[in-house]
Amino acid sequence: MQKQLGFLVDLGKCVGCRGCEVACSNKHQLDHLQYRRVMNIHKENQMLGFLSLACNHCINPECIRVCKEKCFYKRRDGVVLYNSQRCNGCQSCIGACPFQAPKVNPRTKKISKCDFCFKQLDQGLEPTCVASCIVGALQVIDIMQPAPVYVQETLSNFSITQFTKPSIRVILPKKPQCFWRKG
Amino acid sequence: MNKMPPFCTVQELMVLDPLRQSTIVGGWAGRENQISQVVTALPQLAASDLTNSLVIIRQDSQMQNAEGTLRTYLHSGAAAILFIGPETILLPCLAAIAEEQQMPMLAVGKPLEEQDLVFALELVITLKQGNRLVDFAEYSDLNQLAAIGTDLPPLLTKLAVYLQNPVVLVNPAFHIISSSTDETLLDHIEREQFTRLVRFQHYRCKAVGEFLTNPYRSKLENSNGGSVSCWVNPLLGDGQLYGYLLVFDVSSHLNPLDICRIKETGLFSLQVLTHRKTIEDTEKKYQDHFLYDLLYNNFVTEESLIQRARHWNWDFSKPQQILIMEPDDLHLLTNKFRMLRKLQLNVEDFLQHKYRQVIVTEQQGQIVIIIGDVNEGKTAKQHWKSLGKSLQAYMQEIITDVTFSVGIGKFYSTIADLCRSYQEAKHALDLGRFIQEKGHITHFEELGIIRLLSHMSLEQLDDYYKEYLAVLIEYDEKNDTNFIETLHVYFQQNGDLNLTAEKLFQHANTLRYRLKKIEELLETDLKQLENRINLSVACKIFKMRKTNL
Repeated sequence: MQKQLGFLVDLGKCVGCRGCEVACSNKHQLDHLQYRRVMNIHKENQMLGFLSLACNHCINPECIRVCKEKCFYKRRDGVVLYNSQRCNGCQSCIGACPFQAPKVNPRTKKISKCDFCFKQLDQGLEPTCVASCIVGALQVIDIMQPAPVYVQETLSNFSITQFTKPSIRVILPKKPQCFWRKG
Repeated sequence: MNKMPPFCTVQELMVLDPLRQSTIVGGWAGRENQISQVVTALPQLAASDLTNSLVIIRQDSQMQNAEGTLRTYLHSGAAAILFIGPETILLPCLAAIAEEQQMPMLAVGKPLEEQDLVFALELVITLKQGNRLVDFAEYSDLNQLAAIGTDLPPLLTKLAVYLQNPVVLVNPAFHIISSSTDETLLDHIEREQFTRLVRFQHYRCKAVGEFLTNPYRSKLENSNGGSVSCWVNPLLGDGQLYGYLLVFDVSSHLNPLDICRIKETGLFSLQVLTHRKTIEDTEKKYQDHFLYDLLYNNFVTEESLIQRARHWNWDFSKPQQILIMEPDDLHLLTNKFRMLRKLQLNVEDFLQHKYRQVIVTEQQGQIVIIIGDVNEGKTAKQHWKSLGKSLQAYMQEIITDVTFSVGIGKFYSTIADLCRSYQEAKHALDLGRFIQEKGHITHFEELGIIRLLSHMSLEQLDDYYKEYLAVLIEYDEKNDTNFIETLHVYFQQNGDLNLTAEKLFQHANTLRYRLKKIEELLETDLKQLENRINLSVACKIFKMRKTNL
């Protein structure tokens, strides 16, 4: 069975501290880039939680399809990487990606995107965003492996584009429990 | 009237020792000759009546002219001849006489007494009368088979010579892997024809729910009116099917002892196939890695890719076309891995006859087909679509309860662009179901408006379809009328009332009434092109969102 690395976000644990955002930004500070962002999930004015998103390293990556210069490629572990040397800055990938993962590097005027911190990954370490999550809400998983039933592909109250088959899984928050003290 | 003494056939006598170890020199066509007595060759014996006799001829100091003696007894009308001595003196001309006379000539290197053979004859006759001979015959010959080695043609030829019938070994998709080399009874073309007939009958039986995991006899009738029965021996190991051993009973005389021998050879063929599969699996692992790199643009240069492909004799210097096939509702299937393997095997078998270079691989639950050396022309799109149709029809014969959809990518002239074509084919496969029904064949260029819609934000899409269809959705929910589906099928069938009515199993007048009601609810006129476009797009979005795109 092939491997496909992805992110698992536990919405019950995420407190919206944006530690992952800051860690990502800190790592790419030379280029003034930040690939990860934390979104507020709300429906009908009701706050439901936080969702940390970056490149989802999709199974059907749109960036590979649209890039005429063939800058993007997928490693055997499923991580989608880019070769900036081939990029001519046409930005077609930005329009195509439903998650707006590719960003323009203001320094080089070429495209840049989340690379899953693959150098750390190859050394057996976690990506910076995952390592910096103090509550352990963000994890790396192989989505091809059977997952427990509480791990879901989609959110019932928040839509994630599915046609590219993003490698992201979520754990929904548990219902809040009320403890009443008998008077 | 003289009572016939108890007897056994030459074949039956060879089930047990000491004749089990003997070599058949020739004349095996007379294996059904009956033996009721064993005699040793003497000078005066040749003139007497030797019917139903096994004649023993020894090469020793007393026998000066063994070749001459053998010649004499080969014309004596005996049931069989057993030669005890070195096989080297048995000239080919003697074997030819034995063939002509249909008199089995057997040879044994070690010394044997007449009394041993008499005892063996009596024992075989007793076992035969008690119907227990077959029990002894089963798997008695495995040691001899093991001596042949792991090469399939000699193994099958040995069986074919023993059975006097052609033998063919096929894979689970009934593609010939190996066959006996003797083509006197059935030539290569006839074997292929009969194998196709067996395949056809096999799938027909499976379609009506017969589970053919045990050996069975299949009656074949070809287009010329001729009929042959075929013994089909499935080769099963660890619950996995490796292939079938087919014996075409041209001589119409397969007996229980022959079936035992077929089973033994089947067991040995299974071992060979298991061994081959282990090697193939290792090779496939490397191939799959290479194909993954090819399909996901994971290579340094085009030249290095072409170079690596040469390891498997694939020519990637020429343009390739990509197609993807997937069983509909794969996630609902309980046996999806087996289904994908079967699909891959059969697709490969189907395409290998049509194209010079075909690569079929499974990637993430989809069967990826790469066809080499193709040219882009005006009719190319239609050609690939008709190929998809023939593939679907072929698979429908084999797997009747599942439908298959096909996605086709655009043509690119260089191999480096194959990754783009692959993504396009996947898109065509995934998004095609919003245009057509299950079992669709969609080319990427035919996706039309869906291509644009798939890139829009989900909020915008939701707002759009709700603006046009909210009233209808609400009405459907309250009254359980399913007007949305009616409207969707109506647009899918290009506004043809008869076709829509047929699809929805409704009368045309009922459909007219429903469409009128829809017009009233939506306060629109379906005859206006602008309204039709807006509603058609809204219907498409609604379907996309319902399936959680």
